[in-house]
Amino acid sequence: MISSYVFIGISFSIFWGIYLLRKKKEGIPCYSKGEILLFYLVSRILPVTILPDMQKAIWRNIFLEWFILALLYYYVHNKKTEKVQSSILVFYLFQPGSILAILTGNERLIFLILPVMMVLCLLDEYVKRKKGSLFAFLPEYLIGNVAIFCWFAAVDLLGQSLKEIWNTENIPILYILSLLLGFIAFWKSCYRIGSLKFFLENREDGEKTDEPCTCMTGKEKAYTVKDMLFIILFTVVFGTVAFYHLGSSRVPETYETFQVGETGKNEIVLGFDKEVTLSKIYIYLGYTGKRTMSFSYRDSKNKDWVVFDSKHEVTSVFCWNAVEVNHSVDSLGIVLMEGQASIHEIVCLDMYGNRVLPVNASGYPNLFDEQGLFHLYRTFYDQTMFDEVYHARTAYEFLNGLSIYENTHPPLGKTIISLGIRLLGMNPFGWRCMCALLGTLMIPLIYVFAHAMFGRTDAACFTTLLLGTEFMHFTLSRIATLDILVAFFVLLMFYFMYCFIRQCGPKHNFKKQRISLFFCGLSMGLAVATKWTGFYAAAGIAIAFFVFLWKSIGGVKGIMPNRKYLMKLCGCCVLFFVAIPGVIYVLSYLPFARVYTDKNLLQLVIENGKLMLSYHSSTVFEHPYSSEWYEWLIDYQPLLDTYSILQDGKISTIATFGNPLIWWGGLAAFFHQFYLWRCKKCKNAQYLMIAYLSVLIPWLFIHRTVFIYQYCLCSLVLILMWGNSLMHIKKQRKYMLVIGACSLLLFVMFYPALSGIPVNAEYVNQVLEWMSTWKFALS
Amino acid sequence: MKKWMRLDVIQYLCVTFGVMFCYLTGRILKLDHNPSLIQLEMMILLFVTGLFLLKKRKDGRLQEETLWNIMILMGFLMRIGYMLYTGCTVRRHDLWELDKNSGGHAAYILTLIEEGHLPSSNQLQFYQQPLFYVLGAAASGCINGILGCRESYYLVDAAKTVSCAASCITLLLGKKILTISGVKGKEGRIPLLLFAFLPVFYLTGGRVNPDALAGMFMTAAFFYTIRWYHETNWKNTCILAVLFGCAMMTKISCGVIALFTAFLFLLKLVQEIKAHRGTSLMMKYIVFGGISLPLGLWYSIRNYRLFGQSLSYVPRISTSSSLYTGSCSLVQRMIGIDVANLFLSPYTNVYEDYNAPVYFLKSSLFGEFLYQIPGWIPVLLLLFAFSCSVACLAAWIWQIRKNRNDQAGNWAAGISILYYASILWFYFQYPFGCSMDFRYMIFLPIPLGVLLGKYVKDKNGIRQWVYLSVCGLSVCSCLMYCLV
Repeated sequence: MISSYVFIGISFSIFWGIYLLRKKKEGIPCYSKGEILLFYLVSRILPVTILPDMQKAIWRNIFLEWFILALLYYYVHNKKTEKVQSSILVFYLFQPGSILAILTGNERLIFLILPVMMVLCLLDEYVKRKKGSLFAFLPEYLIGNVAIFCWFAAVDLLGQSLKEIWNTENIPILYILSLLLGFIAFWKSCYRIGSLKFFLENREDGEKTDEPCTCMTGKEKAYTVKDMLFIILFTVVFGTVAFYHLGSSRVPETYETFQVGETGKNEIVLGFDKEVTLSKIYIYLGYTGKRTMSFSYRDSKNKDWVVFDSKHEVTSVFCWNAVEVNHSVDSLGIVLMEGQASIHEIVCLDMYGNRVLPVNASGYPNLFDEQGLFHLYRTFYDQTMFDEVYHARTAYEFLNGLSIYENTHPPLGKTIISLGIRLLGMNPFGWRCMCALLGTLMIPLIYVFAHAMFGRTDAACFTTLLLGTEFMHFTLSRIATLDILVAFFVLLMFYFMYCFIRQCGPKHNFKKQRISLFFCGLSMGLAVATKWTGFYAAAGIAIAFFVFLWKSIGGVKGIMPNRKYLMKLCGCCVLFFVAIPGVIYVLSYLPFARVYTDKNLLQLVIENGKLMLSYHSSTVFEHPYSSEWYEWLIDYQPLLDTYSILQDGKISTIATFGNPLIWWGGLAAFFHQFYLWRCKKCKNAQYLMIAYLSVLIPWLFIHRTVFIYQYCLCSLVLILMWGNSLMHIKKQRKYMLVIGACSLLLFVMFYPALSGIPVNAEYVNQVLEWMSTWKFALS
Repeated sequence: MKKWMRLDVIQYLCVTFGVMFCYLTGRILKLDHNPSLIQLEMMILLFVTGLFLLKKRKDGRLQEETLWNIMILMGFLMRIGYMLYTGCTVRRHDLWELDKNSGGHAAYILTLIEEGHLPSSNQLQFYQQPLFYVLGAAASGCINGILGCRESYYLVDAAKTVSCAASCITLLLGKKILTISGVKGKEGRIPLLLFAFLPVFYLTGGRVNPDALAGMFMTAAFFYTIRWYHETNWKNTCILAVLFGCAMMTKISCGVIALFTAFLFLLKLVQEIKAHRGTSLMMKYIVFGGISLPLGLWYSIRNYRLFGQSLSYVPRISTSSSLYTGSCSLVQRMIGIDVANLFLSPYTNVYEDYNAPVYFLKSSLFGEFLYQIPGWIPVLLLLFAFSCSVACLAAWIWQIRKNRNDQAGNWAAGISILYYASILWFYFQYPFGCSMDFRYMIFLPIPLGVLLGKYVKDKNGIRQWVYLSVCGLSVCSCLMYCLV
């Protein structure tokens, strides 16, 4: 329900914001039938469909409201102008009372709308007789709308009621606020009626309309040497920062495999030259995780074996797993309880944290040969973090033809990660380097994108600087998960689609269009074969494609004269957006085919597709860092990837979240895009909005456990929105410098919480935890 | 000029004696045993005054000066009424037991009255500067001397007349500051309403501690600094020096205003040096220092010599105390605005709250206390006050961005940010819930009121909104503190 409320709040605010701006500049705007239909979908259907459980009562209310809409239409169709007719309908659609009444499922509230409408109609007649206009009541109408919204939120979400306003404790503040606003709206309306202040200013329509934006009309500006230098500079600097302290290239590599059922092969017996008090032992586990083991020691008095932990689960792969001992022992036994396990190294520590080598270490040469690689204070640098336990491991399995563990995402991303492992070994640097590389390559890519979009070096530099200092881009570039890989391909896809739409139409060079579409389709295939979120972006580019193509041919009238062009384009699209991505997607399953030889490639694709669909549509679990889509917008709940306590009050922590300047400011930029699109006909704004909404809106309908990194694609578009917004204000360069410097400053400030470098816990706690939900230094 | 000066002093003396007289009358009539009666009287008086104003307005005979004076009288009524119905042990701060040895404010006053000398240690509240306690003891001595009372409760209770008088004088000074800053006429009503009916002025005015007196001296120092800048003569220099001395003799933190004064001193010095008149001004500065420093710092030096107490000494609270807020980040505590907290409860929670801006707002209305009153009254008060705060913030930004040529506005903006920063700095150093109490910053509404008046004068569009908010705040404030 909160999701619907937030959606209504945001969409209605955008509508009224744009309305007020347009009204100020061009008088009362007129809306087409298509727009009214769109508004109906946004204000009625979407808030209902994003509910996790759509009750029948809600749909019944939707149908009941049609009766009211029909009455309203009957009333307005006698009005003088189309403008007034459409405005009244739109005013009705964008008052929150009806949709919130629908959402409650209470039909009595729907019927309550009728008398309210009747009063308004009577008021309209009265005002008309006095030669005034109901539009003069807009401020009161808006205050009333806010009051209604607050009232529903108070009653529906917080369970507040009228009788509680007399409470001396648990006072319903939101409810009282709604009553106050309602009273103000009513009182001001009465005052306006009483003092006959309902005459609109005489204004010629279109008197002050803004000049339309000229973006996407000129030729792309050629690159200069300065541009090249900037591209190289930004790439090298970001690459250096991204690769610095990325991960150790030296971790235990030699291993022993243990197997239940083989005599002597399922246990390790460690002997010590004298009785030692062991505090812990650390096991660096190989590629199979969650191994159950039994731990015992030999009692020196009775010479009996005493089991002190009969079912200990050694969880994490390619990671040091601690097992508490805290006993004086002269022999220690480790028995694998089920399946198979590969153990790379074992380290035993005494009470003072010193390593103790068993006397029979030579009996297990591969388990005690890399003792120097163990550090008492381990961080992400030495081992896997967060979902790397799935993705790095599966990449390793791809390389070695082992049974595949992680199959909830298409395989291409893990294949890319495996390239790094093949080149540099199965160590943190190896499994992270490809992500860091693609993250770094996004820097020149965004520069090129921004250069194409804004045609200016300073704007391109500004945008690139924002991406370089965007926290989430940096963090995801340094962790072996799929998000940065899909982000790279999606950005590529958006870029090539942008290249296409700025030159689409029969009058432009078709060859260039074809090339752009080809690369767009190629990147789409790669994106989808990495993660299914690529589909959302693909839907976005499809919408952008049709919208801009429609405009370029001049609408319906242009279909017949341009049919040849359209046919050619259609052929290209089928090839580039269906065939090529399809082939890429199927081929990405080759690592599966290597392991599961009993099925053909297509069978594997379909089977795994079904599994993924069922997993992603139903996986709900409690997680301290999970968050909803509306929390992403305000950077509310970061995801803590890793956290280690080091000595001297220092910690190492990595959190995935956004640069607050870019995200919070980006929200303003997003609202500004609506304005630019509606009032200045800015095509860049329209394109960016389509891109942003296409990668955000699907998450409104997804009710499984999700995390903030899903917003990564949106954050990329937000950065371009920042650039586009600054291109439409005065003193652009000054603002670019200030905002760029602030973003850089924030990046430097938050660097310890993004990179995992050792930092004083107090600094993180006192300076970096800006919100109560930002917990980077766990106490 | 002399006449004007005399009038000022007479006004302040009248207010002081008026407050004492009211208190004395209240004691004689035993009104303190019947708070509801005082509240009823307050309501009737406010209601009658309101009717009178409406009638005058309807007849078109309401002059601006009359309106301002009536607003000030209503402000006095609320302060004195609250003081009369609130005993010294109700909504108190660090008063502790009414015993010489308890170490609280009460003990300080009782020591002065009963032993006739300053405390012989700096334990607990005895580290505080002495002026408030000396004046409180004097006032108590007079009042209880007349009544022939030696009961500890009343000896301490009578000291709140000093706080109440200080709070009333602050209101008068607020009006003077508005006038000297060029906020006159209709626009002046808004800040004056704020000064008259902001509850923190009643709360501090009805309490036995030095906050109200410190606020008064800070306001006076601000006013006389501006006056000194316009009329740099020996008399104004001496008045200013005495005020600073007294301010710092009340609370060392009043010295923050000295930064603003120092800036104007410097500005004046540059102007005078350019006009080759620097020597005379330097002499004035020396005399200023010669008066203000010994007055303001003698107690600190005494305590330093006797107990090794540093100048900025404040007793430390343990970080394991439930008041400790240092586990939250600086942004959460000082910069961000915890909007969710606004919707949790209208009242502060000194043990749970950590966000300074929201705490400042709430504690300016209710202090650190809970009230057994229907919830809609404090909520409306909070909502109107929030709206006023937003308007003040907008006024401050407007002054910085759009109204830089207005000298008085710049000074108000400068001193408000300086003062706000000093409070945040204090909270940074002492991260405890109680450090955020608005009683430490009762001077802040004065410069912000000046800015609000100027802003409303310039922005016609928002005048109605600000009027509504301030009037709403005033009505709710009266309602709340006549029913509590």
